[in-house]
Amino acid sequence: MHELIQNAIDALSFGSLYALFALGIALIFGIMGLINFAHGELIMAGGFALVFLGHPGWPLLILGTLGVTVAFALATERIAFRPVRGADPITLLVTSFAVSYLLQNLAQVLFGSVPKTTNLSTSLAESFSIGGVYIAKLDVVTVVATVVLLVGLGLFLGKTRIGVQMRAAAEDFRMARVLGVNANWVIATAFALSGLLAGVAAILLVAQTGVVTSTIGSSPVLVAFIATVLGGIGSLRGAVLGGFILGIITVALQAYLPLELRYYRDAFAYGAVIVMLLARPQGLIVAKSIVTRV
Amino acid sequence: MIGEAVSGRMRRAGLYLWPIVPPAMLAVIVTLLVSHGSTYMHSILILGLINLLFVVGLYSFSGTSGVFSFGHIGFAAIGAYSAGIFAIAPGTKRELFGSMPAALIHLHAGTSISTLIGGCIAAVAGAITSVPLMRLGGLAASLATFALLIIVHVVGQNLNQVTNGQSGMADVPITTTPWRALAWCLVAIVVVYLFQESRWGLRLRASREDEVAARACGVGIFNERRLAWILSAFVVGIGGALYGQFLGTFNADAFYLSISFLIIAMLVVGGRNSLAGAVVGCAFISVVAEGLRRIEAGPHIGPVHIPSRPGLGAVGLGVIMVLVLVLRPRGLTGGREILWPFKRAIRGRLAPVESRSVIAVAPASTQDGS
Amino acid sequence: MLSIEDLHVSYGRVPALKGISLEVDAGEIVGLVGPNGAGKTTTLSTVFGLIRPDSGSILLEGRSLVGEAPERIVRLGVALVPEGRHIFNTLTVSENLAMGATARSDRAGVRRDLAGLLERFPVLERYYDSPAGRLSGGEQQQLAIARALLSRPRLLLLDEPSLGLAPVVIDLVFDVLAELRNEGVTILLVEQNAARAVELADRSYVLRTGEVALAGSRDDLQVAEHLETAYLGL
Repeated sequence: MHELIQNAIDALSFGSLYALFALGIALIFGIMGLINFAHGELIMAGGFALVFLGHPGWPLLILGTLGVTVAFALATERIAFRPVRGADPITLLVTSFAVSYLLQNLAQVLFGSVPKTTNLSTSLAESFSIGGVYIAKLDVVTVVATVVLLVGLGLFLGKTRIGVQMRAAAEDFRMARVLGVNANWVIATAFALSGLLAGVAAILLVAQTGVVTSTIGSSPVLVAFIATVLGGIGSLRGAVLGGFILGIITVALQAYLPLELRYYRDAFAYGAVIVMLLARPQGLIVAKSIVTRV
Repeated sequence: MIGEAVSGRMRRAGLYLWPIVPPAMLAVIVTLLVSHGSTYMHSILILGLINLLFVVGLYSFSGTSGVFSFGHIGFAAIGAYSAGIFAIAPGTKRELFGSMPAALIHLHAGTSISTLIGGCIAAVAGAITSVPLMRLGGLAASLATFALLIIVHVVGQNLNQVTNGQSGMADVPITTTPWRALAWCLVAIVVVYLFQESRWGLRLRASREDEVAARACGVGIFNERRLAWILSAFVVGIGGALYGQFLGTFNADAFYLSISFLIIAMLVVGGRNSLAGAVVGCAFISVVAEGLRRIEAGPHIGPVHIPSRPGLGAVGLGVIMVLVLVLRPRGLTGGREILWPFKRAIRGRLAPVESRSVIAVAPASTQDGS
Repeated sequence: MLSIEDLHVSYGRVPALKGISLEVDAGEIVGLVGPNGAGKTTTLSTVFGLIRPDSGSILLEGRSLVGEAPERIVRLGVALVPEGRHIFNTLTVSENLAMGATARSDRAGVRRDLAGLLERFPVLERYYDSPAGRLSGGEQQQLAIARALLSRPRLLLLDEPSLGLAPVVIDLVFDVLAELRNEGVTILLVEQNAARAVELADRSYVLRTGEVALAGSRDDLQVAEHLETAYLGL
């Protein structure tokens, strides 16, 4: 019983983290039709920021890291993605792939391939127990941070002027422009938000593992893709849902797969997703604006 | 008037014969390089030809259907392992691979057969994976191919009985010569060319331009895509088999992200919508990559020694790819080799379509009853 | 108010507009009719900055619109109601309307105008907080027009507003357009339904394969044969 609760908490924690990853991808995709492979490198940038900021106290550390990821996101938009805006989806996809590859190797050139350590894990690694169940502080922080971000994002998109503009642009970019929405602003805002999400994800991820390498972004990005596709491309809610489901699958497999098969956990997880997609190729939540009928 | 008739006939004959020229040129160039080059040059050549197989294979699916695959190198891994298992002598296998079952140890075949088997097993994998993948729409399918690459990598690193896990294959007879590679390349180019000009190839390329219009014309792209997928798996598998028999020792890491990126860069830079693009891209990037590799190793320019920095070559490659995508998204060949003037005229009449409408189409499933 | 001269537009190598010229004076409704593929939508899209012309001039009260981005043109007082309405299905009616005020910064003025629009289009008030996707075709068309009006345009461009609407709804929409003209809004109306457009408009142009085939006032054009000739190119 305890084990079940333990696993449930793990699943919630992983799911939250995955939801954050997926949301970063889904936001940009909704506006631009771009699947941003380079989102992983935003997380990487956040990770390296943590390493080099040292320990100036939590508030400064968080602000500094978020500042770096947001700035990075805006920079990639301005330099790499604005020139290809409006290109066909494959060009967008491959461009983001190229940017990701470039940044990853650049980091390797600059920082080497030896993993860098941070001091983050110490305080958050503590756990406390409730009725015999051990809950890591980090798990609580992860879930709370995710909830706060989700609520904040929801309010932003629903209530603010630029939020409504973003939703309109995501549904029909051309029409939004016809009404006077400034394309550059809306896209920049989307990238800034995704930078914010990447920064938080980086903090939580690095707090878990304690080390940062140039490839730290690869795995989250893959998770983000799979979660987005699973949840339904084009739907923000779908991305979040997909993230949580993937988290649950991963933890379930980790806990219940026989020992010899543990190594294949990722393979099974993605296999399970592909099976799910067979049943519902459009993903779980179909964004209403997306389907074109012949 | 007679002059006109003659030149007309010659022009038509030229149109039919033209496709032979590029492969012939390739054969000539390779011959020249082999006879005049050093052993190092031979290695570069072999690698270039193997990469050509990979790119041509990738093109035969992604270039024709318009669905970009990130996972094709997974088929190369399958081809390499399969060929390796057949190519290594049973005695060696018994010595090196403790956990390999007897059934696999006894398998043995000559070089060409092993290579062919590698391609065939990759094709079988293609057939199996085509079942789930072809049901997905373009973008979702692309992401799923990425997952496929990961899955193959994970299995390759852990399935000790077959792949010998992280230690990988060793002592694979190194039998890949420039001639073998060239021969397989020519075969692949001819086959892929015939495919793309065939009925199925044409239908695929029609669906690539405008999925909605194609479906409205009754092109059920499911089967055509499946065919292209399996064909491409075969070609890439052959390439993998040759690669394995060139390296001699390898594990799943040789078939993962960096080579995937290289192949994609080649296809994109050359022009992803044409076979010529695949070939041109491969040649161009091979030359550039070699140049970057020399810079990375720390060249001497006169008295100045530029320190070597691993990873710089990859950064350079990335920059080049981004530049090409920004400045010339259709690639060096501009997707040319395809004459589709009818389509272009139609497209000219319609209001400018947002590029997103290409992905905003329900995937080719039977669910919506169409 | 709007003056188009010798406009050439092509899609790649295919010419869509081969040197058309037309004028829209302040306070009038000008109709732009013609068969499919004549270039009517292209004309509107070019005026609104969605397409770059090869050559020719487009002047709004003497100021050139060529090369300006749509976001800019809206702020110059031009509003476009594109073909197919293009309302934001997942946004509510109120949010759709709010989008119409994107280019405006005077909150009080927007509120006043909004109140006026809700009075003119009562169905919008009824569905104010519902997702716009729930409205019927005719209701969506009203929403599209109201949304465009909220930007207080001096020049309103409409692309096939009657498309897919029942005759009684078309009546309603065209009545609104006539009212707007009386209130001083200048309108350039593209329509497939030539007869109704010519009847409503003060003047009309007939476009055929990228060129102006015929132009004239309501009285001129309502002589039936003229229109047919122009349409069929006999």
